[in-house]
Amino acid sequence: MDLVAAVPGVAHHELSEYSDRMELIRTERTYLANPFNPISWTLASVVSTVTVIVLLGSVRPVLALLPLVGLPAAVANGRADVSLENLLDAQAEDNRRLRHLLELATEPPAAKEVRLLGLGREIVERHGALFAQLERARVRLATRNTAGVVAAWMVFGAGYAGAVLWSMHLARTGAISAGSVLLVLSLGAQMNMQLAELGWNVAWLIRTYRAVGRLVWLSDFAAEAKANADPPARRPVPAVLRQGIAFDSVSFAYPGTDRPVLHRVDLSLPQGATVAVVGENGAGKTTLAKLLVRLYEPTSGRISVDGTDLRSFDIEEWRARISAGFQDFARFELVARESIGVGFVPDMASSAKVGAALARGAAEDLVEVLPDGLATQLGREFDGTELSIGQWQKIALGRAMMRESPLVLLLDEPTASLDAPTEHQLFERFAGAARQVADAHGGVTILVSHRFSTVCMADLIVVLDGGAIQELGSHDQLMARGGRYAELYRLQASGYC
Amino acid sequence: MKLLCRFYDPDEGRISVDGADLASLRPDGADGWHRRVAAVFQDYVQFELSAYDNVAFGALERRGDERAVAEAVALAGADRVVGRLAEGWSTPLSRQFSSGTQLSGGEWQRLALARALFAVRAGGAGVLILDEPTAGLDVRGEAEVYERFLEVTRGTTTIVISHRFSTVRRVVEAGTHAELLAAGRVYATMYRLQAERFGTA
Repeated sequence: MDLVAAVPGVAHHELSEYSDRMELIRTERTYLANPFNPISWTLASVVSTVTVIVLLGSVRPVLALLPLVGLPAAVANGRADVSLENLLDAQAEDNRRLRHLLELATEPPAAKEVRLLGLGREIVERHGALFAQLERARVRLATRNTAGVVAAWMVFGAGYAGAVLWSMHLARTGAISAGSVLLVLSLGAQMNMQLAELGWNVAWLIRTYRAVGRLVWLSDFAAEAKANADPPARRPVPAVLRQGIAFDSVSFAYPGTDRPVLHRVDLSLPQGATVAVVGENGAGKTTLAKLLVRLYEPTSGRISVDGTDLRSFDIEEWRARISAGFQDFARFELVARESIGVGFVPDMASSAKVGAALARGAAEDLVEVLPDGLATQLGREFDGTELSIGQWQKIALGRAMMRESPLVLLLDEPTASLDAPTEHQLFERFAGAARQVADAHGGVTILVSHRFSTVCMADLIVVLDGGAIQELGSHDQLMARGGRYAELYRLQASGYC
Repeated sequence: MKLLCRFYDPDEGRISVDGADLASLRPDGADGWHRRVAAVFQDYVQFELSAYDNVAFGALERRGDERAVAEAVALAGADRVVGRLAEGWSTPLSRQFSSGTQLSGGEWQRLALARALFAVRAGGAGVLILDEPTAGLDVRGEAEVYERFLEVTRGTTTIVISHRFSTVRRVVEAGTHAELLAAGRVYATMYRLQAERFGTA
């Protein structure tokens, strides 16, 4: 878990290769508990097998070859295990599909729609069909493996029977003692078990080796991501913004895709400014914000803060100076005070600070509707109070407002689920919060929104289209220009008569 | 809305459909009440399955009707979304799956709208519930939904839940909007509050 959270960005969560390996590490972590066990066990079986060989050879040298007839069985056992392993590898993606189907069928968020559409049976059937398909493949493999193992044991059985009959014949002619016959009889039977054990242990060793390999891959991945994220020339994050933040010919495409979401964006956000980013769906607004928070790194170009490359800051130190409220906010099903307080953990225990953050987010009325105030457990999962989407959004806003002196206050569609009076109140508080950010540290407030009634309050409005900046200026400038912004503004205002 | 969907029955009073008590209708099954209702909930489901399933799930019994699915998608303005998918209809909608694609909030919302539209047009749902259906859409998308989408569903009882009064204004008949304004109570206050930000009230 440390390794997953240690990768600085979020790009890795969207690679299926990454997900496959995580899935396997999750299901096979028992192999990682003690990687030295299989090595010592394998050594032990090798030693005892050699002992048996030496003892058999002492009766008649040719009997030392008896283990050879047992070799196919050991190989068949080991191979069966490895092939099962490969199959599980190949099924990792379908197992994720199974889990999603199970969630659709059982988790409360999907329940309403699934019931209304009468999808329950369809989903259960798909789950059943996919499960059966995976199970069939496993059974088919197991059957094939078992046939191979049985055949190999028959070879051993024939060799063993031959050796016993031959030694009985030798004993009858007086060439060897009756005791030697017993020795062959018991050693042969013991070898049966030892070879099986050797097979298991070698397979165990291979599994462990692979699991370790995946873990090494993951830690390399984390290390590489960290190395990319933190180039050596480390610089401290400035305490106060003096010039501002600049995007220099920044381009970006999501990992695993070629489609650029941002294309050579040049943009200067002066210190203390309130900046609104508008544009149609898919224009790249949220991506711009994510790059600033360094959830992703630009594919090319650079972002600089007071002239210093953003990448030369320690990523944790930089994020500690950002307050962000995202469109797809997280619902932390904790006690209300903690769910808000995680925005700035050092102040989480202080009800006064949490209350002040709620007030900055125009969300203080929320506490009144919670049965135990800030001590209320949130979410159905833990028998707590279930909130409406708008109430969850207020919690997220409070969380965004927890830091008192951010260099960047980032609000991505913060009011989509809020009602009119709250929206109105919030805008005024935002303006206040923005001024506070600007006065204290020269910080920049960035607002991503479709609501032009808020957008028009910003000092600088950035209109994005297809990943490039189409227009830039204040509300008055852009209205006078009569371009895209003016058109969109009028389109929304025309809904008000 | 949950009462209307018959997830719960009212403690008191009754909801009637063409005079019949809703509580007396079967909720599920081929002729059940659930089939008569289509909805885009605020927290609509994102099926991490193919794009096609995401729409066809609106009316399972008609899922083979590719043309009707394509129509619903075009009417919801989701054809652009499908158009850019690497493997078109069959693309799984999650980057967790090989060859899968992740959609943005607005793109998901258009698919959810297409699903509801498919339920109305192919599945014969007579009641359409839209709970904040444009929260994730841009200005043009919002205008499109109300000008095109509601035109298409004329004859269907459509219930829109929205905080955006520009939306409500588009949905409700003009007289009703005026009546509410004249009454000068909650609706008028909230409407003015939003409208004055545009300097038009």
